[in-house]
Amino acid sequence: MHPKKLELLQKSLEYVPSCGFTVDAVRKAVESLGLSKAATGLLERGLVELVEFHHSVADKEAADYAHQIADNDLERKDVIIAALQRRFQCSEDFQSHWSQAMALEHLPQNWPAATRRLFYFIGEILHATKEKSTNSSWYAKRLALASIYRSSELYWISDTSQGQKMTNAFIAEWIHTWDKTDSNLSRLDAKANELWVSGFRTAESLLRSFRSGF
Amino acid sequence: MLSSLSSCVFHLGKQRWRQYRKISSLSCLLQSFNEYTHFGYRSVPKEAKTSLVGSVFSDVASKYDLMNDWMSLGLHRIWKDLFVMSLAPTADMRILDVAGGTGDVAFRIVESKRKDSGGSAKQVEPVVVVDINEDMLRVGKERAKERGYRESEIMFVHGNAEKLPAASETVDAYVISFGMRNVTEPELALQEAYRVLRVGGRFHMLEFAQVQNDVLGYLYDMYSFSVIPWIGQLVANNRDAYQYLVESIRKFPSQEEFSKMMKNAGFQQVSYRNYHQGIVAQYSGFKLGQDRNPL
Repeated sequence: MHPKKLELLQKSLEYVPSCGFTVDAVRKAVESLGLSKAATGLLERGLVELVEFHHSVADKEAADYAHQIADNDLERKDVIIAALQRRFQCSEDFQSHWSQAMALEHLPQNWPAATRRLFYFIGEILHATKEKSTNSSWYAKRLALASIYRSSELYWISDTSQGQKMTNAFIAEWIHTWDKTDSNLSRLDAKANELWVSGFRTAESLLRSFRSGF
Repeated sequence: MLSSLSSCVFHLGKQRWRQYRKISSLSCLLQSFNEYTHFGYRSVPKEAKTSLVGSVFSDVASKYDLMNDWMSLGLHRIWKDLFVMSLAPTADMRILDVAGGTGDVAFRIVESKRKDSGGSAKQVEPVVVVDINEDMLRVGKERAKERGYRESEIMFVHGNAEKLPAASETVDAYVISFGMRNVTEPELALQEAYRVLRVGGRFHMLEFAQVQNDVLGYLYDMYSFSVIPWIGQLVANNRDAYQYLVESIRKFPSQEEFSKMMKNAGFQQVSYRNYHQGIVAQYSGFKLGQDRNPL
């Protein structure tokens, strides 16, 4: 990214609390940087570039925080809760206009990139918790956490409590539920695997017996 | 009878098309000399090109807009609408429309500016149309008068794209629509564009380009070389002018080559978008100052 464009994006974010995720924020940033009025065209895909820029900064901060606290011998679920709470704190200044950001992300042309970004962020947090699964549970965990993130986001945009307490409680509750479910599913998965292996061995020995004619 | 007439036109067109392809390969040899440039498929001295192009447009000025409709089957209106939409002009933007002759793109920009100002106290900067051809400018002025545009909204100035009558760093957006291929030295025009633009200013160009799809390219070539000159003869009574126009499209650099030229002139965040598989391309670049090493 060109330094001038980076500067423009950073400056535009300063105007978002007053103007929202609108072209006015970008125009004010252009004016304050002394650029030509045509510089608003630097955001070729429009205002979603401003949203994506904020996400890239905030996601990195939350992921770095997750890596930092993961070394403190915390449980997996506690690291995830802390990281998600931190993530929403990073967007605190834009809370009143966050619905605009969500609307931009969910436009058909922007939705694939927004989804990719979300799954990458979730992946980073799970990586911080030393998550090493390589089977279908890899996808299941990410899908579950992405759903929790999106639900929390919707809850957060109407949260008027001090220091987003209600959202923090919401996140904690859902992650606890998910963690319990995930553990139970892993146990069930192990049991099912055992059953399958024993069933297969039984069938194998029966087949051998038939061949050898009892 | 209709089918025999159409097959006759088809074969004649195919013959002419092959003939011009042959001329094109021969003219490549002559262009190895720096004093020569292309005028369609012919090679001409550089000093002569400006006056040759001038005479082409002087001949067709009065029928230029009608011919655009016939040649592009009305599609040029959509291309120009999209072109202006992507520029998103505001009332206070200083816009230079180079080779804007009859004002097609400039009028669309004026309408956009009117919508943006919407009766507010915002200062409205006029669109300045620059063209080297006085006949095209005359047609533009007449059309502007018919539509009721004031001089505070649109101005017509005689000038050369290679040496613009504008001070440095005074323009927010430089637009050129189907004009760059007629400039004798596009590199000079790009340098001039860079000079007049402010930091953050935008270069925005619409131009015929190289078709990316082979089948469509084949059909497009057939249409260009057999139908368009014939329409030129019928409507504007000038076959040669439109023969030059279709040849000049083939001689213009490809999308990638022109993007490189824009970067060499100093523009950054250079991009292009093809319409109809590359029949027309929209180019965009920004003047971002001395920081030429992107992160």
